[in-house]
Amino acid sequence: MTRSRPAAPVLECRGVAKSFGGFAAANAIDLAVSEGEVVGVIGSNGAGKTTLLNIVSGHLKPTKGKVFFRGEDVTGVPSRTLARKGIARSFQVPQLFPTLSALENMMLALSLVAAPRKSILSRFDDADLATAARDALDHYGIADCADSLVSELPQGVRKLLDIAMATSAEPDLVLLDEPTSGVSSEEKSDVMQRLADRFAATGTTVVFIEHDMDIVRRYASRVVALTDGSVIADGPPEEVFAHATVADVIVGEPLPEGDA
Amino acid sequence: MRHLDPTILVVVLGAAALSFAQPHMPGWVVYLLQIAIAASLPALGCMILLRSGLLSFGQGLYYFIGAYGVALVHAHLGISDAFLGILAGAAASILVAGLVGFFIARYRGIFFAMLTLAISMVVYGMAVKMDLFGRSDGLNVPRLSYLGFTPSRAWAQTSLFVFCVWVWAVFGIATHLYLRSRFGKLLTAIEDNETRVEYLGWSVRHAVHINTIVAAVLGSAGGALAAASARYADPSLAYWTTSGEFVFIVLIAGQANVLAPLFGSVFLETLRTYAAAFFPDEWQLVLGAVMLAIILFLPKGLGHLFALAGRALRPRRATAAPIEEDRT
Ligand SMILES: Nc1ncnc2c1ncn2[C@@H]1O[C@H](COP(=O)(O)OP(=O)(O)OP(=O)(O)O)[C@@H](O)[C@H]1O
Ligand SMILES: [Mg+2]
Repeated sequence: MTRSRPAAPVLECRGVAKSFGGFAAANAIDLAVSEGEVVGVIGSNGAGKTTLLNIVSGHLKPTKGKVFFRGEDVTGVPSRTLARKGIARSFQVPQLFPTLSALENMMLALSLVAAPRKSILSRFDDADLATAARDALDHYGIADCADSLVSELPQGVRKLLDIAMATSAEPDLVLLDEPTSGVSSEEKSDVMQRLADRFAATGTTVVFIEHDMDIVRRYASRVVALTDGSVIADGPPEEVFAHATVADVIVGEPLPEGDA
Repeated sequence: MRHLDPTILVVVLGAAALSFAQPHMPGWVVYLLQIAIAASLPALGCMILLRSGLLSFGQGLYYFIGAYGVALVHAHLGISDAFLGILAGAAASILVAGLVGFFIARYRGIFFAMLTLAISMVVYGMAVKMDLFGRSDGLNVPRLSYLGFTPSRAWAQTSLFVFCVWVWAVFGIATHLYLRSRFGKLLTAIEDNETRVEYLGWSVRHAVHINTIVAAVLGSAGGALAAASARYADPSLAYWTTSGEFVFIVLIAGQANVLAPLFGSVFLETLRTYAAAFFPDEWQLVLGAVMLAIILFLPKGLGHLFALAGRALRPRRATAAPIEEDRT
């Protein structure tokens, strides 16, 4: 692709705010994410991380401010439209179809958003679709669970299935809400590595929320720290982790005296 | 190898068998089957709405529209063709359900049920006061012709029965294909998790709206058959107890397969006939008791008996490969 002028950021938030009743969960958040960046969002519980993702993915309308996707104003555009435009999102609490098997969940994701080549009225129970879904599950190492009902799956597998379904459409922008929570500690880096490899290969832009600071240090190319709904630090990981409030409030390991 | 879908096979063979058996069946059985076939179509509409967890107490509205489709094209246009009658009712149903859907597709649970009920009762209330619908007496329906062919008096009953059977076969197979499609799976997914459906790029509201229209068409086809069989259409078809019977049929039959409402409907009509003959004053009590027994002992409905029988007939394979659990 040739670009005559600098491309618009993939994602841009301008003065985004959200209040629930009188309570401000997000306060004038400014954020611009460029193509191919992997942004880690950190913050204590209740800092407003999920709220930010809910706004960007169209789940919530901001009280104030605007959201742009590749330069286009998408403020208040519903999640289904954003999904078709290429914004995918996984959830802190996996959003799955519990009465269907893992394979059927994946098949449904593929047939609705990723591969609408066939008519919506064509047969669901289709061998090609099942093969594609099995491959997608295999990519996240959960093909063994394909035939289990989602309601019977362990939390870690549900989390992966949620991500697999969200990313089935080869989106341009992926928003992940705590992708490794509920995943066993041995498997955490394995999961993150798979995700990182996959998104690096396709040049996908990623914004992920994470509480595990080792994961953030290893995989984020940029870190955004939130406190009480406001961005208090934004930049390369080493810089953000050297920020006194971040170290104290978010990481919980205050910097040595005099260092701050 | 692509083998034939068993449901389609059963429907086609069943319809063919019934068509040839008709001359040998007693008149009351023919009539009972016709009424059961007619009522099973709006019940099938209830069943597809239930796939998304939506209970409609207003399918009677479309039963009413379908019946008056046949009655009104005769009364005002002098047309007594069965196909045109069905089409008229279906077109009117698409229009009405299309408009109503904008309003109700956003509601769930008890609100959806109550709104469907309320809308059908409003129509009932208006129809009993309008000469167009023959007030509470209703309108007569003529003996039907079929694409220009008018059967002689002797063959009228056979023709109508064969027509009913094949109309059911067409709608039954179409609904089966609809439910096994990607859209059909989407309908099930809606009950599970609307948020995920939206994030997969689909509007839950549009899907529900489309489904209410499909259910309405099924209801109107049933109404047309009912009017043709009873030879009249009256506003009570839109009354809430009529809608309640369709829900009743789905509850006793289950919703595993499109054939379930047909079995449920035949069961209900048979039960009603016998209960009314033996307990003229308490037949509703008998109906209630049967309903209770089914809910207690067969919570997945009578249709589940077939699944259980199927499982009993192939016990060997259970060890080789797990038999697919039905999750309805
Ligand atoms: N729908 C809502 N209604 C009212 N308050 C809400 C709503 N959603 C979030 N909040 C409040 O907004 C604040 C920010 O919530 P949010 O879920 O964004 O936090 P978070 O940073 O994702 O926290 P965690 O790390 O625990 O997931 C919290 O105090 C929460 O209680
Ligand atoms: Mg959160």
